[in-house]
Amino acid sequence: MLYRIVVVLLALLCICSCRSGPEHNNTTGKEDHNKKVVHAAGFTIQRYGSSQKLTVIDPWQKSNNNVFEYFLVKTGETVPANFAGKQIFHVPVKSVVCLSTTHIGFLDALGKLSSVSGLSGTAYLTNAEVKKGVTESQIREVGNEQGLNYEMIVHLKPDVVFAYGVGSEINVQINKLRDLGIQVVLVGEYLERSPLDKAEWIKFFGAFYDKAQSADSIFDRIRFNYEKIKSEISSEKERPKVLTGLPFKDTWWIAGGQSNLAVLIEDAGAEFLWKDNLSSEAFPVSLEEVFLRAAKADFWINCGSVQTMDELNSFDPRFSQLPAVIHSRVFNNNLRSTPIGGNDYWESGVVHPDLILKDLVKIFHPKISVDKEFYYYKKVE
Amino acid sequence: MNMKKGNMRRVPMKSGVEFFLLFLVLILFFLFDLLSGSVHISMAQSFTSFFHPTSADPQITSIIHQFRIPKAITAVMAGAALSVAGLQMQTVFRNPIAGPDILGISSGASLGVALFVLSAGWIFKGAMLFSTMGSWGIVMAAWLGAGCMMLLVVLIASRLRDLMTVLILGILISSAILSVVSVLQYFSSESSLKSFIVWTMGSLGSTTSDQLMVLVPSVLAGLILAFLSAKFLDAFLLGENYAKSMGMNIRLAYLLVFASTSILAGSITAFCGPIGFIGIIVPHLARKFFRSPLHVRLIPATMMLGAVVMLAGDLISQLPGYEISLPINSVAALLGIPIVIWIIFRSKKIGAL
Amino acid sequence: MKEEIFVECKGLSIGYHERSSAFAEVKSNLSLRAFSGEMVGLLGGNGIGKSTLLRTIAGFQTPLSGELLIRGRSVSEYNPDELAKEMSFVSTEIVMVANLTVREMVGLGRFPYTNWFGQLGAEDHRIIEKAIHQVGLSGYENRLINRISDGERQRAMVARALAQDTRIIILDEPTAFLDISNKYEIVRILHNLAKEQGKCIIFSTHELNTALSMADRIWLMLNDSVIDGIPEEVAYGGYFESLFSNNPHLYFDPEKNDFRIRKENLGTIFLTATGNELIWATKALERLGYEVNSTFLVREMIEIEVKQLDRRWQVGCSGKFTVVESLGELCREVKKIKLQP
Repeated sequence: MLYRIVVVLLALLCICSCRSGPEHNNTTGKEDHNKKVVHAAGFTIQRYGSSQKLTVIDPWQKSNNNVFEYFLVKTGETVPANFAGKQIFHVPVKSVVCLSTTHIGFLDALGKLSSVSGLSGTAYLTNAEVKKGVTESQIREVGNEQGLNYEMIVHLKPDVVFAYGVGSEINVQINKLRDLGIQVVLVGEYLERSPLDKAEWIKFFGAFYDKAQSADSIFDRIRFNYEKIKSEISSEKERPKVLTGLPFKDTWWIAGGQSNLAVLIEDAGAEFLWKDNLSSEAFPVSLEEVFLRAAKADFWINCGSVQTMDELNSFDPRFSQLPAVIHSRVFNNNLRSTPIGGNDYWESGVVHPDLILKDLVKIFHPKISVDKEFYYYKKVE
Repeated sequence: MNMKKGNMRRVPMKSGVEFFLLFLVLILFFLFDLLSGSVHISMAQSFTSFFHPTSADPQITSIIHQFRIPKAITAVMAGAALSVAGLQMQTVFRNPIAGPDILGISSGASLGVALFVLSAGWIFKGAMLFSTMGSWGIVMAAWLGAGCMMLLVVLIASRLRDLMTVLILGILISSAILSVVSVLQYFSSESSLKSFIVWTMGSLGSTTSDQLMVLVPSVLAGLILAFLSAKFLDAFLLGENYAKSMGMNIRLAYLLVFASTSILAGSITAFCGPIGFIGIIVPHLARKFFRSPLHVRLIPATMMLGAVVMLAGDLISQLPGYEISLPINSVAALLGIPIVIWIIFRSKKIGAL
Repeated sequence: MKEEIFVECKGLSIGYHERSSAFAEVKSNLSLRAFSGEMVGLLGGNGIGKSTLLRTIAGFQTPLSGELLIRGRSVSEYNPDELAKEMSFVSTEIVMVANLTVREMVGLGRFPYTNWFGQLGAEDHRIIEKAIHQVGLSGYENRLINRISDGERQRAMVARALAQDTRIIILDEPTAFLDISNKYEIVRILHNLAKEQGKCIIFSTHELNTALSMADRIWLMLNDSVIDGIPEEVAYGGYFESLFSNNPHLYFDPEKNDFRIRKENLGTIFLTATGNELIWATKALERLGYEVNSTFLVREMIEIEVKQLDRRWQVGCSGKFTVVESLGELCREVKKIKLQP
C-alpha cells in the first residue's frame, strides 16, 4: 500500500502539476449574528454597523490557514474603533483593476463595469462593453503574473486591485503593490467546489460597491433558478454518461471528480464517468483507459477549444470510433467565443451557473427542453 | 579478469547465433509490450484477440490493435532510429557521449513545436491553427524545425574544414535555440505551456496508424542510408586522415551520415517528442556485447538492441500493476544516467571508442 | 622492370591555406623525383616541412602552386578512389580503436576495392593474409590492436598500407617510437617491397644512418632547397654538413654515416691492444675526449700510454704506471691522470 502511494507521488511529480484540492477551512464557529450567511467556503462577511469585514480564506491551492482580512468603511463615515490599524477600503470604490477576466462577469452583473480602469488579458475579452473600453483606452492592459505592469497600475491609481493567486508567490506581488501604495484584494472564487458557491462571490464584490442588497438579490435569483432546474431534472430516471476533455499525446486530461464541471453534470441529471475521482482539478488518464471507459459515454462535452468535428478527430483519430462521436453527441462550451480564444463561458459564466445548467440539461435530456436555445454550449459538427 | 591472456585474443564470432538470439529477445519484448498498458489485458484475452478476433471482446481487440500495436511498433522504430543515429555521431565525432541530438536536431524540432504551440495566440492569431491541425500540426512543426537545423549544420560543415568547430557551433546554436524556447514559454498561457511541456516528455503511444505510415518509411530510409555509410564509418575509426588516404570522399561521407542522422532523429522527434539517452547508451551496449567496431555488424546490432531497450523502457514506464504510467523521457533518463556514468569510467580505462 | 617515375614534383610550392586567399608557404619551387623500385628517405631538421611535403604528395593538402605528378598524371586529375589505389599512407599517429583485431584493421586497407558495405571477398582475404605475413605478424591475426606493442602496431599499420595494394607508399616517420630492432625491421620490410615488388616507398625519418645505409635515394630538405640524389652523392656534395650548420657542436662523420658531437681534444693516448679490446678501448678513450693513436709512436707527443696485458690494463704517464682490471677502472685512471696538472 505504501509502495503504491510512493509510486503515485512519483508519477505526479513527473507529470506536470497535478494539483490537490484546496483546504476547506471551516470557520463556522459560534453563530455570530453579525455574520452574514455565506455558503461559499472561501470568504465570510461580518457586519459592524454599516461597515463590513471581509475575510478570505486560503485563496490559492495547497494553501493552509492563510487568511486575509479586508475592512470596508463607507466613504465619509468614521472608521470603527476595532478597525483601527487595519487595511481599510473606502466603499463604494470608484476605480478598480481586475487581474482576471472572470471578475468582469461579477462586475457586469452588478452594473459596475465602468469602474474598471485596468484589466489583465484584454486580448481574450468577450464582453462588448469592456472591449469598447479597451479600444478607447479607457481600460488598459496591465499584464499578469511575472509580466505584471506595476507602473501602469500605479499610473491608474485604482482604489483596489482584484487579484487571484495560484500559489503563495502571490504574496510577492501583493507586497510589491502595497509598497507602491496600491491595495490588493485576493479573490478565490475559482477554488469553490460548486458553481453556486462560485456565483456567491458576487456578494464579495457587491460589498466593495456598497451594493450588498443588489448582490444578495442577484444571487438569490441565480440560486432559485439553479435549484429549480436541478430539482426538475432530479426525477428523471435516465442518467446518461458523460465524457469530458481532450487527448494530447499519451494522456487525456479529464475533469476532476470533485470539480465544478462534475457537480454541474450531476446536477444536470447525468453521470460523469469519473465521478469517483477525488481531485478537483483535471487529472491525466491513459488513452487506453479512456477508450475503454468512454465506450459507455453517451455524451462528450468540454473538449478544449474545438469548433468542428474534423478538429476533434485530428487530435487522435482513434477516438472517432466512440459512440458519442458516431452518434454526433459532442458538445462544447465555446458558443460565445472569439477567434483569438476568449470564451464568455469563463467570463459571464461565473454568474450564470443556472444558464450553464440549463444548457447541460438541454444536452443530456433533449426531449424535455426542446424550445430553449443554447446559451454557452453548441453542438460540435 | 582482464589479466587473463585470453582477453588479448578475440574468438572469431559466431555472429549469426548472436543476431538470432537478439532477434528472439526482440520478439519477446515486443509481445510483452503488447501485454502491458494501463488497461489490464490478460495473455488469454490478447491471444483470443489475435487469433479469434470474432469471439474476442471488441473493446479489447480495439485496444490491442489501435493502441498497443502502434505503440510497440513506435517503440521499435524509435529505439532503432535513435540508437543508429547515436552510433553514427559517436563514430564521426569520436566522442563516446555523443548522441543523435549533438547537432541540435531535437532543439530545432523543439523550436518548431514551441513556435507552433506556445505562440499560437499571438503569432498565428489564434489557437485555432493549433486545433485545426491537431496532432499532424505538431509533427509538421517539429519536422520543419529539425529540417532547418539540419540544413544549417550541413551549410556550416561544408564551409568549415574542421569537424570540431562544427560540433561546437552545433552545441552553441542548440543553446541559443533553447533560450528562445524559454522566452516563448515565459510569455505563453498556462494551457499552451502545459501542452508544450507534455510534448517535451516524449510519448510513444500517440502515433496513430496513419502517422505510422509516414514514420516507418522515413525511419527505414534513414536506416538504409546508415547501412550505406557503414564503410565510411569504419574508415572514420582510424581518423579523418587515414580515411582520406584510403580514398574516402570526405564530403560525401559527412553528407550521408548527417542526412541519415537527421532523418532518423528528426522523424522520431517529430512524432514522439525529444527522447534522450537511448541514442547514447545503446551503441555502447552493442559494442560491448558484439565486441566488434566494424559497422556492418554494429549497425544491425545497434538497431535491434535499441528496439529492445526502448521496448523495455516502455514496459517499465507502463508500471505494470498500476494505472498510471511515467513519461518515456523520465524512464530513459533514470535508466540512462547510471549507464552513461559507467561509460565514462569505462572509456577512461581503455582510452578509445 | 622498366623504371618509371612514380612521383614527380615540378616547381612545387607547398604550404597552408589560411582564410580565403591568404596562405603560408612552407617551401617553394621544389623539383623532386622518385622512381619505381626505389626507397626514398626524406631527411631534414625539425619543422623544416617534411610532413607538409609528404602530406601534399599524399593528397591531404593541395599544393599552392606548381605541378605534382603521380605516375605521370597530375594529382588533380585523380578522384579520391583512383588515388587511393595508387598511393597509401602511414603516419606517426597512434591509432587506438577498442576491440579491433589486427586482421580487421589490415582489412580496412581494402577500402578502395570493396562494395558499399565493405564486404571482403576471397581475394581480399588472401591479400590481407599476405600483407600480415609480409610484416612478420603471422599469428597475430586475432590479437586486438590496442593490446599489442607499439612496434607490432606500427607493423600492422604498414600491413594495412600493403593491403591497400598500391604502387606508392608514403610513410611519415614510421619508426619514430620504435626500438632499434623494430626500426630495422620496418625499414628492411620496406626495402624488400621496393626491391622485390617494384614499389616506390617514400618515408621521412630522423635516423640518418638508417636512411644513408638503406635508402636508394635521399631527399634532403634544407632551409632553402631540397637536394635530390643517391645518399653518397648527397654526402659527397657536402650537403649533410649544412644540415646542422648552425650547431657548432655537431659534425658529420662520413664513416659512421651520422652526426657526432664534437669533443674537445684533451690529448693523445698511445694504445697498444688487439682485436675487440682494441676496438672498445679506443671507443672508451675517445668518448673521454682523447685522440687515440695505435699505429706509430712519437714519443714527444704521447702523454698517456695504455697497454693491454692479457685481461688487464696498464696505464702510464710520465713513467709512472698503474695496472687496472677493467675498462671501467681504466677510464677512471685516465680521468685521474687528467686531473693532475
